[in-house]
Amino acid sequence: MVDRQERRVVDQQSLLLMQRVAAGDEQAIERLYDQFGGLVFKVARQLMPTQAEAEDAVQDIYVRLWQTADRFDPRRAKLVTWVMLIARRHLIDQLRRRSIRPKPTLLDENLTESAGTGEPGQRTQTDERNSELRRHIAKLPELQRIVIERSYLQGFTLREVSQQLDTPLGTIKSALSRGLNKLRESTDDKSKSDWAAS
Amino acid sequence: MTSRNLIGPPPDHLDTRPRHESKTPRMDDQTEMTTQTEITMTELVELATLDAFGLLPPADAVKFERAFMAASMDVQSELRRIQDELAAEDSILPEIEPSATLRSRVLAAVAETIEAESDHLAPLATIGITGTTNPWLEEPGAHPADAGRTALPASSHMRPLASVWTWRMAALILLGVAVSLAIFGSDAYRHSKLIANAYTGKITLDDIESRIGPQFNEFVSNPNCHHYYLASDTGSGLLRVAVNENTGEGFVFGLDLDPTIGSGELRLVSADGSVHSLAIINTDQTVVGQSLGIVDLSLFASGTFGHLEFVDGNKIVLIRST
Repeated sequence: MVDRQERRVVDQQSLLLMQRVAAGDEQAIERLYDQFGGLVFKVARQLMPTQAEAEDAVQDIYVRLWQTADRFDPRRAKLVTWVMLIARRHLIDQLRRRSIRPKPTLLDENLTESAGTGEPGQRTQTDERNSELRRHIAKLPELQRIVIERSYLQGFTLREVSQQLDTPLGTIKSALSRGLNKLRESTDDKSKSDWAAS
Repeated sequence: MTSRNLIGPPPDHLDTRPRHESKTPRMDDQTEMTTQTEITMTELVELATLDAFGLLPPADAVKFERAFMAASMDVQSELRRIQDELAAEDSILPEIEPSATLRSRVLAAVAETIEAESDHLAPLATIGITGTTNPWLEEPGAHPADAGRTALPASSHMRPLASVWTWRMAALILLGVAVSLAIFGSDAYRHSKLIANAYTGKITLDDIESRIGPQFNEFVSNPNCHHYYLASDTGSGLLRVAVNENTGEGFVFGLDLDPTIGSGELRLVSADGSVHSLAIINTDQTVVGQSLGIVDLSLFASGTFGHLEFVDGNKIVLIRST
C-alpha cells in the first residue's frame, strides 16, 4: 500500500517535471539532464563508435525528449523507461542510418569483434568500452549471441538479421528477447558475486 | 527475470481461442505456444523486452501497444515492471562518464531548438519595430558622428506615419487574435465540460471509447504518435489527428463538429499547395473518431507538410490546423 502510494507520488512528480520540460522550463530540462544524462551518455557511448558521436547523440536525444515531453504518461512507463526508450530508439535509428555497416559475410568471421567503422584505433576503443558486455555476450548460445550483436550493436533490423541467417523472423525475435534477458540476469549474478566477494 | 515470472497461461482477455483448441508444446522452456492468432503472454514479454531496448519493429510496436492497452491491470503492471527493470539496467553499459562540457552543450542545444521553434511567432513580436534599433539613427544629427551629415532618405521621414499605420494594423490583428481566443476559449470550455462530465460520471472515457472504438486510447496515449490540432475560428468544433510516426497509422478524433453539414472531408494541404484527402468524417455525433488507415508519412515530413483542414461539401474550410 505504501509502495503504491510512493509510486503515485513519484509518478506525479515525473509528470510535473515533463510538463515543465514540455513548456521549455530551463530548470526542468537541467534537472532532466542531471537525473538521466549519465545513463543516456553510457548507452550512447555503447552504441556510437566515437566519444564525439556519442555526445552529439546525447544532444539530439535531449532535444527529442523536449519535443516528446508532452506525450509522457506515467501510467504507461516510469520516467527512466521513457527516457531510455527515446534514447535507444534514436541511437538504433542512427546506427541504421549509418552508411557503413559490416557486410553479413564478414560478420561470421569474427562474431564477437566490434563491427565499428573498421578503423583499427576505433575498433580497439569500441572493444574496450564494451569488453564487459562482450564477455557476457560470448557466454550466450550462438543464435542469441549473433542476433544481439547484429541487431543491438550493429543496427541491423530484425528482418535483415532474419534474411542474413535464413531463419524465421519469429525465431529471431524470441532469440533476441531471451538473449537480452539472459544477459541482464548474468550481469545481475556477477554484481551479486562481486558484492559477496567484497 | 524471464517470462517464467509470469505464471500460468495467458490471461483470458488475451486468449480468445476456443477452449477446445489443441495446444502444442513450445520449443523453449517457457509457456506454451498455441495455434491462436491472439498474442500470448510469452509473446507479450518478448515484445516488452524488445520495446525496452528500442528494437521493436513498427508493426510489432502497434501489436504490443494494442495488447498492452487491452490487458488487465495486473498484466499491464507486470509488463511495466519488466520494461522499467530493463530500462534502468546499467550493468551492461560501459563505465564511462561524459565530458564536463556535455551538460552545457546539451542545455544549449535544447535552448537553441526551443528558440528556433518560437521564432515562428516572431512576426507578431516585431510589430511596431522600426527599421533600425540604433537609437542614434532615429534623429539625424543626434549622434556626434552625424554632424554635417545630409538628411536621411525620404522613406525615413515617412517612419512616424508608417508607425501609425503599423500600430493600427497591429490593433486590428490583436482584435482578431482576441476574438479567435474567445472562440477557442468557448471551444475549450465545451471540451473541458466534456472532460468534467467524464470525472463526474456523466460521460466516462469508456463512453468515448465505446462510441469511437478502442483505437481512441491507443492513439491518445501512444508515445509514437504525433498529434495535430485543428481549431475552428467559427466555433464549429475541434479535431485532433494522431499519426504514428513508426507505422504510418492515423486516427482522427473530433468534438462538437457542426452537425448541420452532415459530413466533411479531412485533407492535408502540402507546402506546394497540393491537396490530399485523408478521410470523410460524419458530423452527426458530438464525439467522433475513426481510423485514417495507413497514411503517407512523407506528406507529414517537415518541408512537405503544409497544414490539415476540414472542409464541408462546398470545399469551404471549417477548421484548420495551426
